[in-house]
Amino acid sequence: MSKESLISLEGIQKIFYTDEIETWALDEIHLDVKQGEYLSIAGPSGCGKSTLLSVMGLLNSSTEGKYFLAGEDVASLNSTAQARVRNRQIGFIFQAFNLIGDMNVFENVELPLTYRKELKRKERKAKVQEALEKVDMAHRLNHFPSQLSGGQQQRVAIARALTGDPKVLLADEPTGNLDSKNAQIVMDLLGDLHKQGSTICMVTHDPRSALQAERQITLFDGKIVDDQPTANLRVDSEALVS
Amino acid sequence: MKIYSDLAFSLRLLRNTPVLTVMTVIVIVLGLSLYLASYSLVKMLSDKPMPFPSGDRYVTLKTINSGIGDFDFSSNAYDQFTYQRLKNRSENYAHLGAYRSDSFVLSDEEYSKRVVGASISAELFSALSIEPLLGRLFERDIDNSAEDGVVIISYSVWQDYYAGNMDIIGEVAEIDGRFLNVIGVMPEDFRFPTSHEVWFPLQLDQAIEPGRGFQLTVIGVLNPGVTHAAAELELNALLAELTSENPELYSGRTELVRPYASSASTVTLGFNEALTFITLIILMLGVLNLSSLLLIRSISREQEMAVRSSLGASNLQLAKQLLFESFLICSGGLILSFVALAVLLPWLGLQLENGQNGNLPFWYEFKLTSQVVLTGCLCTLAIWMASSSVVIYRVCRTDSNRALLGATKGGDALSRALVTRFTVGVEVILSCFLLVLCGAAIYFTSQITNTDYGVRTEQVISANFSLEHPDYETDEAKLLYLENTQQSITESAGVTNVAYTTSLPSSTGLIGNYFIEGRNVDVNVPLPSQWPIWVSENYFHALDVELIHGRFFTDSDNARSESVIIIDEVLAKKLWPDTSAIGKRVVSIVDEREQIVTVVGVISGILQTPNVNVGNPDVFYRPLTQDTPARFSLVATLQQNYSESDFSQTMRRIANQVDRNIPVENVQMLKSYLIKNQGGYGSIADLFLLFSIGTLLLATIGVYSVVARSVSERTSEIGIRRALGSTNQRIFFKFLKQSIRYLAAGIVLGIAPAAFIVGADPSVFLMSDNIIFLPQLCLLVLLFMAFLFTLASYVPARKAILLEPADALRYE
Repeated sequence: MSKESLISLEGIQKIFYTDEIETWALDEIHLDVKQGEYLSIAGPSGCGKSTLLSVMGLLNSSTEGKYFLAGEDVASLNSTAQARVRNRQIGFIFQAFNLIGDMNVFENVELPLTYRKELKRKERKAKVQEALEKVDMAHRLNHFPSQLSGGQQQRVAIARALTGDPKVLLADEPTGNLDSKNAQIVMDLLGDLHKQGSTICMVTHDPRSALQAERQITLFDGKIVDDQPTANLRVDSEALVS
Repeated sequence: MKIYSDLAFSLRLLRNTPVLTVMTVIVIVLGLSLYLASYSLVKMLSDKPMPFPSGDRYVTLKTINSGIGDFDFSSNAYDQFTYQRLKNRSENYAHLGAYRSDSFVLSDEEYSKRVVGASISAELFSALSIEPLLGRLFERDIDNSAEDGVVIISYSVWQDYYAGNMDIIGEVAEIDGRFLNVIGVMPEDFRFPTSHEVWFPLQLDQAIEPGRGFQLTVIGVLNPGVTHAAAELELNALLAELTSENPELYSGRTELVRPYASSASTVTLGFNEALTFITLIILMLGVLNLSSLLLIRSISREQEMAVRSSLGASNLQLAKQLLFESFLICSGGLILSFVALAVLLPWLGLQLENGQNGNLPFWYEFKLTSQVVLTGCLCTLAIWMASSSVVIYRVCRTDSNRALLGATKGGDALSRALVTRFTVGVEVILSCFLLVLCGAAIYFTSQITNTDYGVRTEQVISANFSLEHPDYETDEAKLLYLENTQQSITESAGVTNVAYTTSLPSSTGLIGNYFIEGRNVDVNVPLPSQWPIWVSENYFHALDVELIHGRFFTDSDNARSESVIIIDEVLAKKLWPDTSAIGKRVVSIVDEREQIVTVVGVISGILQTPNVNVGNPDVFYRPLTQDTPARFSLVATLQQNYSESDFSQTMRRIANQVDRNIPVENVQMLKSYLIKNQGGYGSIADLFLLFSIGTLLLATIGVYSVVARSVSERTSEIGIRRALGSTNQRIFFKFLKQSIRYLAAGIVLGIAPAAFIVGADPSVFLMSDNIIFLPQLCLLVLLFMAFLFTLASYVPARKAILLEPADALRYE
């Protein structure tokens, strides 16, 4: 594990068993993500991108291998401790937003903070306000998700991911359900967050979105087949265009 | 999780799904109300502690006489000899006493009133540790002598009859024509042993022979630490001694020691247990339905839970959120159940009170007692935990990643299908089981209201009175009273056909024996038994009873003429299958008095007992002009414009005019009397009906919701099948086949056991041995379930079919 690594995956395997069939979703993944890094994960459908993200987000356990987050072996923690890690160190952004329809914007963004006992209502309110201001949604506090556009919903989802000051943001196809205009707004927002120091791991199919990251890994059949800075990719694509 | 936001969110969720919320609350209210109402009832009928010091040690002694009719009925009647032997020899009781219950007429110069009273052991009365409000209690040495006629009266008798006379102690009260000194007034609300209001010292004949004299009810206060089983053991050992001394009288008896609360219960043994069993199953059904409905809620919240999990909520925090919501529903259900009970219990009390003419035992309480509230809270806690645990287990097992990241559909279909199949199966089995039992109860209640007693009941009124007064010791005096009363009533406008009987339809009285004159009597076989019922000459005419052969009684049937009887045609055919019964002679033995009686008439049958049983005695109708008992019921036909209350007022006025010492009681329409008098069960028939309707509702909601859910869960499967070319008919047929499998399970594990229970011992469910309705009932339950299944499968399947196949495939 590198000294500056925020995330370090060592020999991660994920095998799904269904009756007599074994499916190797992830195979010997070794990956280090540095503090403040902006990583995109690419690859064809079914290559294991989302599985890798869910292992990194502790939504799925790995079958084999070690996972260190900020130096802590989080894969070996019990489910309650893992929930605590998800709450304090990880922020999720989903393709389908996954806002809770029966909660308004404020309540949705406040939700991760309500799982922290030490925060008082005033502090929670301030953090929610701050997060919503970052995504320019502070004026929609009392709206319900059904009253918002797709782009607005994703911005609220990003605010929810930010509100707990996580060490890493995990985004799974954050623009997958958005039109190009809203997609650009969301990508700009992620770019700003990265500039402010956030560590971001993003699964995306969209090459333009992927190029906004500073590093890209490519998966194929559960293995990392390529890992390079996106600057190289930009050069390649420009060369291809020219 | 912060309570306020949790509460607000849960309330919002409940508001957003009103149908599901209301259904869930209805399920809780039904299950809890029915359970708590039956709990209160069973507690009152079985083991409620008495409100006296050591109240939980009060017991009543009961005897089971095997072989009376088809059923083993318990009796709490002991002859004086047996009681005295048990009292002298038993060592398990701090106090053992007895009482003899009867009704008595209080008289003064103004008017008379009938009250329920008891001749009671002085020791027992003192053991209650209740101080009289005025005067004193019985003192054994002073009061147990025949010369000292003393009486203690209740607070209500003192207030209502003696106008709260402060100088009542030492005053003379006229009771049943005897003049007794009032020595005490008991405190307000005190009634004992059940609903008695006047008390006399019990005087026993120390030299009486076994089986002779009046009967007693025996009450004991067990010594500390003595169990009912130990007391029973001792009692049956003493009974064995008595049996060896007098096998004819005591063989076939078994002694029971039961909590005192069971002493007032006239229902058969096992009824309380049966009621408890049924209501526990109802409660189980409620829990199952609630779990099922909460599961439906949780499925709709699957994604929300996954989001919470991804945001760092631990399983415990997820469970807390779900528990909080189900707690709100359960609490709401509990509060509404208490509201329902606050209405239901007094209504139930009113039904029972009407059924027993206001004489309910003193420990009956038809209100929300702290014990009922506590039991309700504990039940709700159990329901909440039981139903929520299923939901929490499922939510915690759900792969949140799958819900959030859109994993392949159908991955968890197998485990979900197993849970669903299990839920539907149990629901169907429990529902079938309960519906058969409740159907049997509904059949019984319909029997109560529709029983044909063989008499006209429209506009017929009845009333009771007793001539047990020193002025009416001779038959002539009694007949004169009857004649005067009849004449006065007939002269009053609005009443016709005034007649008398000693036992109205649905009731009986004395038991005697008989044999047919001239036929050989086998000394080894007990003589057949008879219920003699005395009637006035116009009784059959007044009730439109048809004469088949011979004649009715006439005024020529009197004390000087030949003794005659009228029997019904069933008995006539049984005794003389090949010839006419008219003119046949029978030797009647009643109260050890043999008398030859001649059959002069054969009538169509009158049902004298609702429990039609081959072991029942045969009924002999006798003219009261030949032998006049002391207690009568009067029947009369009211004209259309004449009401029950009009007659009641007229009757009381006339009774007061004819003889102020003879009060007329229980003035009511004959139809009401017959419903109330259904073998003692009429008053709880309504309760059974209520239970049955509640169960039907529970079963309907439960079966519909679980079956509909099981079909809805397969919406995407329906989409796949349609995408693959399946026709709509084939899809419906598939669900139909599935329904048949569940129904088969319902028949084998639900309907069959219930039918077996009802068929094996119908008396437990308050029915006669007439269970010919059982096959039809089982078929009806099956058809109802089939209909419910079809509806619950059709509606969601049709909804799925109406979707475009692509939409169905994406359906969550």
